[in-house]
Amino acid sequence: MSLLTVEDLHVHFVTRGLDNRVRVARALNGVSFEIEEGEVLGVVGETGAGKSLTALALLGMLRPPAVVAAGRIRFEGRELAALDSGAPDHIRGTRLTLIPQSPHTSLDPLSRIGEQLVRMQREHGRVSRADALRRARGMLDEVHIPAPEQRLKAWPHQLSGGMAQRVLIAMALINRPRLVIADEPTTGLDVTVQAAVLDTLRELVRAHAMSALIITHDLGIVAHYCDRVAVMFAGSIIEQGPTRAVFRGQRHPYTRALVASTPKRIAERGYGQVGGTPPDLYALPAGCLYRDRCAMAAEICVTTPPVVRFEHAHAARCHFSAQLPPP
Amino acid sequence: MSPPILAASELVKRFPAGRGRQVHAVNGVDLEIGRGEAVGLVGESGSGKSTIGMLVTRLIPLTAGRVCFDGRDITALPEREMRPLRASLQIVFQDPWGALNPRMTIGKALEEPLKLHTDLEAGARALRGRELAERVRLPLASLDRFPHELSGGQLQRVCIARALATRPKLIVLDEPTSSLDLSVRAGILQLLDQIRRESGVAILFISHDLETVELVTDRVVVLYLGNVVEQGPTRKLFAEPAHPYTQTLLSASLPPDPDVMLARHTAIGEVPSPINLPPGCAFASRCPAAIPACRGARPPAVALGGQHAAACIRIADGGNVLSH
Repeated sequence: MSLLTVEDLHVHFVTRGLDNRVRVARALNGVSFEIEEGEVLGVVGETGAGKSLTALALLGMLRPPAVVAAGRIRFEGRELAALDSGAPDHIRGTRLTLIPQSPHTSLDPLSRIGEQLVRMQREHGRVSRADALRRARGMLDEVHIPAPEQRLKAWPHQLSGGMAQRVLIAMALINRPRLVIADEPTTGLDVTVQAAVLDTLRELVRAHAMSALIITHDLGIVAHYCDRVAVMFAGSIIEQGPTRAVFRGQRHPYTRALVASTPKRIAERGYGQVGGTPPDLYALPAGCLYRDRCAMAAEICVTTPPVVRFEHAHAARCHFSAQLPPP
Repeated sequence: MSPPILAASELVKRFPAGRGRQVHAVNGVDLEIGRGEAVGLVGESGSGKSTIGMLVTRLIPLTAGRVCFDGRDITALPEREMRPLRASLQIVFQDPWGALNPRMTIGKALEEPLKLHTDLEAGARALRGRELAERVRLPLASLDRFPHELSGGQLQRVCIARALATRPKLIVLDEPTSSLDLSVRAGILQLLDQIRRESGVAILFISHDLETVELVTDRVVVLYLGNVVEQGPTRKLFAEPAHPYTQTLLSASLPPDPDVMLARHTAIGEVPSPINLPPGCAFASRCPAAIPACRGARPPAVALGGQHAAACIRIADGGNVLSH
């Protein structure tokens, strides 16, 4: 059985316009995926595709005007109830945790690092201060922060970007979760630091047999750190499968366009068909959401939404996934 | 032979850091760009790459050094005389949202450089604005819109069109695609490629994105803590990086292909503070190939043939090549 199963998740933003009419932006439109024990799933997509929103829904961190309109989330065999209630359930924060983006705005600027690591443990369980501090020190060591004893007393502003990101990894892992969600964990870090931080994350995920969901827009991170990949477009997953299978042969025109947009592929094959904007979430068209940007679009793409077609573990939401020419 | 479009020598920039201390942002950089050439300036945060972009465009004053643009020394040129030159020397920044006046329509924004630098009349300016919009493939309907109504990719096209309006000889592009999505980024790169072929404008492409630099430039200059550690023709430098820092940097990039094996070199520790720069090679404190002599004097550039050079004393004994 999967560690996490997300079934047909819909998230809407419900607002009122100046004319007092209710407006609904359909930000997630039936997201379904699973994560197995010990697996690292990469979720890629461009701005507004719904990557972070999916993470927030899993973590129960959606707040109005975002509401879960439909869908089920099962984690460790249990239904995560009241998805947007905001009520603390201690699954989130202990069994299911988050490594947030932008390290410097995610740490409490007014608490020392050690204090924040202690608080993270005592918030969710009965741990003595001394034990919590001891574990905090061990955790800083595990994320390869030099001189952890001194760093416990450091303030967030004294840390470099890479160090602050390591502290956030330590915070997310200190309660020994089964699944950690990393939302763009290295965006804004230098390349040499990025590689080292991702290596540390992978090392710990393996050492503690955890699963991870890595949200990123960087196909390089997916290629080298994820077992499986899910590609999002306009609030739905349009393709997912084992990383190697997806990189070798994309079954959805959008994934193809993404891979073709990487400098390496442009150098090999020149500039392909690029550009286009995502559909208006307030007025989603019928049929396939990608059709306006798709070179292969036909009549059926306008009238009928494509269903997910599987080929072994590799799935795509496209009427023509079986007929695409070899990439 | 005509002089290079840009020849900057011994550029130095220090910023005050309070209590009499100074940030040594740029420490004696030479930079030359040929006519029509695309040069990449790469390095991590704090390497001084954006500062150099602002120095050569005279947006901030130099601490020391000399900048020649189009054969003319502009180091100490008063702003009054600098202004007409700016038509030929343009810059595009990373953040297109911050680069445009939110209360000015796109059409007006495109006409603004023409107002400053040409004596075209209103009708002719509007016509040229439309031409520019078409050239960067902006929908003409966007001319009546305001910046907040456009996407990031479209706004960056507006910024590029503005830079092109006065037919410049050099455009400095400071991380022009870093805030954009992958497919949008590809569209901007394609546009730059087309503009270069059509107009022969020279480009200084400042970026931390090595793959993009490899794609769009002819030559690359690698910076570390305000020093040039290596430079050379793009293809050669990416194939045979000589400086241990360049090797470390290139090995950290993640190609979007799971079948490419990563062979990573790890730099030791963290980047030293630019306030108290160590003597000798700036990379020595993190370099796996460092020997005591590296901490003595600043290493001179060693020529490696074909315009390729690296500042590392270990090249002499072959110790510069990091092993896996």
